[in-house]
Amino acid sequence: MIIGDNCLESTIFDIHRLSTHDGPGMRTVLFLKGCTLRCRWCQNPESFRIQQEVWHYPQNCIGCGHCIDICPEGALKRDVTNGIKINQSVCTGCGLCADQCPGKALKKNGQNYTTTEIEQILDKEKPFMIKSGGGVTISGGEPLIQADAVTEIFKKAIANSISTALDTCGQIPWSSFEKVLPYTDLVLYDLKHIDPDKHKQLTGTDNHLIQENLIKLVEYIQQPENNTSLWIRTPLIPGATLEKSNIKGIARFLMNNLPDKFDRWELCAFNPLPIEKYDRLGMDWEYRDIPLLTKEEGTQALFWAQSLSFDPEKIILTGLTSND
Amino acid sequence: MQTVIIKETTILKADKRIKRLITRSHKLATEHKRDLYVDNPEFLVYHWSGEAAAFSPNTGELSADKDTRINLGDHNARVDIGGKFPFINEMPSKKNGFEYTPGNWSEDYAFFLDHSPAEVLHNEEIVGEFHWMLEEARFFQYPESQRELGRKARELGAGGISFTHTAPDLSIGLFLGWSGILDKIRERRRAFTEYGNKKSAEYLAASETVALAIMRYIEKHADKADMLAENETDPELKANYEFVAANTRAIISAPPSTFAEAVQWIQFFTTVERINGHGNGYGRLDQLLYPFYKKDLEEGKINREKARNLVAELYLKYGGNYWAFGGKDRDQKDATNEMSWIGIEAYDITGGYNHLGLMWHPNIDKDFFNYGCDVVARHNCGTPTLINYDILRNSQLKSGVDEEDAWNVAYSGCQWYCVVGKEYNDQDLNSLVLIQPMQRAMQITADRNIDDFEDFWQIYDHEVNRTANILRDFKNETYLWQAKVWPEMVTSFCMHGPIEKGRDVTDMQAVKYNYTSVNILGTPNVVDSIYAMKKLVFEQKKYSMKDLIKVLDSDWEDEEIMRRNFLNQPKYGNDIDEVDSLSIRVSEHIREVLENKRNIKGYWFRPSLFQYMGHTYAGQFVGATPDGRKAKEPVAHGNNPMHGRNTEGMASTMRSFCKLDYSNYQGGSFQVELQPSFFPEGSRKGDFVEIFAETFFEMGGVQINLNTIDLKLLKEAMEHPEEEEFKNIVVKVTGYSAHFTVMDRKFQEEFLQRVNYSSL
Repeated sequence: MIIGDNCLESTIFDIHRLSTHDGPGMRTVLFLKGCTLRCRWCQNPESFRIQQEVWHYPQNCIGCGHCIDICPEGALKRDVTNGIKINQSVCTGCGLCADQCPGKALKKNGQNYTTTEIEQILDKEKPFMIKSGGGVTISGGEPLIQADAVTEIFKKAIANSISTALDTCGQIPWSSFEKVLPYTDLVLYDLKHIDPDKHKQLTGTDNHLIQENLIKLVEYIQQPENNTSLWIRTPLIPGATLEKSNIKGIARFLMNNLPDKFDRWELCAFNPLPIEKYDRLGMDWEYRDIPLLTKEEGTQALFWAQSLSFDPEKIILTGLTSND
Repeated sequence: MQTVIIKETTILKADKRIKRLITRSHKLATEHKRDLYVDNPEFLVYHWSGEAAAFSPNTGELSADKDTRINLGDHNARVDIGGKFPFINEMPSKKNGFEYTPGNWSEDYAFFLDHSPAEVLHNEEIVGEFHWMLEEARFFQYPESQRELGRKARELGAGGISFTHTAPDLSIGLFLGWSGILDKIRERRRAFTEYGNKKSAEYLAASETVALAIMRYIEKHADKADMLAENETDPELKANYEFVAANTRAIISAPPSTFAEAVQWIQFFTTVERINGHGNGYGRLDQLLYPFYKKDLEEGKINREKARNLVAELYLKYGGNYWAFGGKDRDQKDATNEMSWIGIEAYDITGGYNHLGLMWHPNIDKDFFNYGCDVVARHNCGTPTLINYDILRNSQLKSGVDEEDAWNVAYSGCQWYCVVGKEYNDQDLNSLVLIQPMQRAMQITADRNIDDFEDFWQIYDHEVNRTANILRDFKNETYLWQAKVWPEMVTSFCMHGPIEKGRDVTDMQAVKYNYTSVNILGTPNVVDSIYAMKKLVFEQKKYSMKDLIKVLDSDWEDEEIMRRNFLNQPKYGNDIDEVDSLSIRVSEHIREVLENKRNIKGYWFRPSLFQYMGHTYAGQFVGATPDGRKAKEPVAHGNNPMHGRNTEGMASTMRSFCKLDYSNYQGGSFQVELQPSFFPEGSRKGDFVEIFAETFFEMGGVQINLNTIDLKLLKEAMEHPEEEEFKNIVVKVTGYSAHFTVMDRKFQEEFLQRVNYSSL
């Protein structure tokens, strides 16, 4: 979204600060709205649509009902349990209700920030980034949907000596990559499933473009004048990606195509916490009842991943696992 | 930070003997044998209960009802064995008459010490502990003239006890030994007798009584150890007792000459000193012990491990004293030495509850600081606390402390610090509840129909002065009596001035520096409240002051929308310049008000932007406030943003916090509560602690109290305090640490409300 001459905006649904889980050091992570995939286990379902949405937080609701009258679409009505209820199929995400809510129980999901505003936010966190070898990570959704804004943010970050990382699923035209890569120090690239049919079943598209883009990315990295590093990330989802054939299959793919071109391969344990998010969006979630991975399951996945001749220290299990 | 492999660190472990001592120490804490009580919630908020003169004596005539007194946690050096002091009816003041004189006090002290058992327990190399405090046997109370002023002060929102919160210079005693101290007392007594100064001569006669009693007390330990050695058949235990016998006998009169003797000397001093007081800091342990360590090392008498074990025993025996490490020397060079490492290593092998302070500065030994941060992260008990030495020194210099003294500043308590051996600045336990003058100003504003914000501010200024004035009057009456009611004669032995001048450290003109420090309670609530009123009452005129007061009186009943409007105003802690500049205005204002008051010793009052537990109980005293706070909620913890209001992350909170110049105040700790999930797998947690601390210090922060604890775990511990797995959890409550399951439930609840930075 372009507003004015040099004031690009991006739609962001969350900002994490001092994160140690999205790249090296302490990082500010910007989560951009809009995604080209629809992964069934997604941790951030509010990222799916690029449009703004409105969420209701029942614990803050005082049941005053002001919002019902304010809504131009008639998307709100009283609810016995939660105070009010939003009809998400009618709601346009204009956020008029959220602006007026005295309890701050209605919140816009997705806010537009200019790149200047982002620059200021990052500058505040800079002391921690510099000391810890961290920087900014842009994630989402699929951030490259807003490639122009991402490029601007990264340019300004680099000018302010802040290191940049891009967290992408790869399901985007290569031309978007080309815009951003010259200003990207690290790419966190998702490889979810090796089998194209399964990939389609689980995420909405097959993995053809994703793999093609990864190869092109590796060619880019190989050129001596380019200084971008690469980490691979695979979510470990029970019944979906957490299968021996898949993990070994991805390992084989990496071995065949880019054995020494990535610095790290993260296996990310599934996290069932987003249940509330799905409720708020009025969406169903089939992973509602799946528990945390056990330590054993995680270790087994690591074992599958290390089965080929990688440097074993490159492969890491991340995220919470339980001891039961 | 790119590596994921944990760097190789040799984690030090305690040997079997030390492990047994650790177990004993934990047991004492969890069995409530180290509990420290205050009479009532008023004590926590106004730092004066109106009942006992200071803390609540555990037993005796002035002890409080067991059902109403409040347990601060295992914060006592006293080891409870049940029951009252057995000779309570034979105390000299009981038999021969009580007087508010140093002579009368010293007779009681000597009797008390003579009838306190010498404990030499098996398995330990450092001995000395006590089971009763003097205030459980001798009448400790101020006259009605002082107490009347205390009640008046409380009405206006202030109070405070004056009671042992300084840091003696132990190098005086370590150099002189007890006979040297005695000689000094006698020489000065002769001189004052010659001059005809009866008062000083009498004071020194009393000092002599005390010093002789202490020497007898030490001798008792040597005799007991001898007897135990003689009757012991196990060769290891026998050798232990023989060691203790020799080590204690050597320092009855003579100054210590070995490291072990020096440590024992310190333990005895702190024991006989604490037996009549609560909570001094004892200075810079690394500077005190280094010469002894170096000498023994050269003579082949000691190694690092032995030294470490002895210091570990010192920590366990006392129960966590306030020691400072690091900082700079007289020439402003890094003062870190091998003893600094040993001091932290000794904590590393004991873990748990303690109160060590590491004084960082930009040129500190990097490995040492990194190690200290690693210890904080691994033990999760907020120890050592991390402090910015330069700010401590600068704040002293700004107050008028001489450069030749200011360098020797030592972290000494929760958030306070002392020029070792040269001050009695009434630190830490005075309180000014800033919310109360604000509330009076609001009422006056409503009564007079004031509608201009600056006019309101003038009234606020006037009311803050009223509170400061009554506090000054209360303190001055206290100071008039203090040296008569409860002299601190043992502390005086290791101060520069009292023996020379024949005046107790608590008296006028005994030591060089006599400011009065005051903890300010509720500053962020005042800032947030005044800001909200500025916008909604004065600028937008959305509500009248009269209506606001009415609604606050009913605790926002039926006015939830109005409360939300006040609550949703921008708040302190989010790096919003408009709010933060008000924070500066409010803080600078209280500083100026206090600086304009004089205590009877000729010094002014200095604010500390911290208060250790009053914020938990203050709600019932101040009621609802215009920042949208309900009466039952706690108030803000020191100058940390009110719970839940800093929503923009730690960097923004630090920026808000550090817009103040902390060298203008006497401390202002930053509380951080981190969850274990914050740290990525395989990372070195200490490195993160180091990053937070250094960034914070470079922004101008003075002290950071860091808890890395699992809130989920704490919730479970609250439900099942009897479970073994929860009994060892120690948290840095505020300036001091405590075993979580032993703390008062209200403290536990407040602790759980704190912001944790994992879910950003």
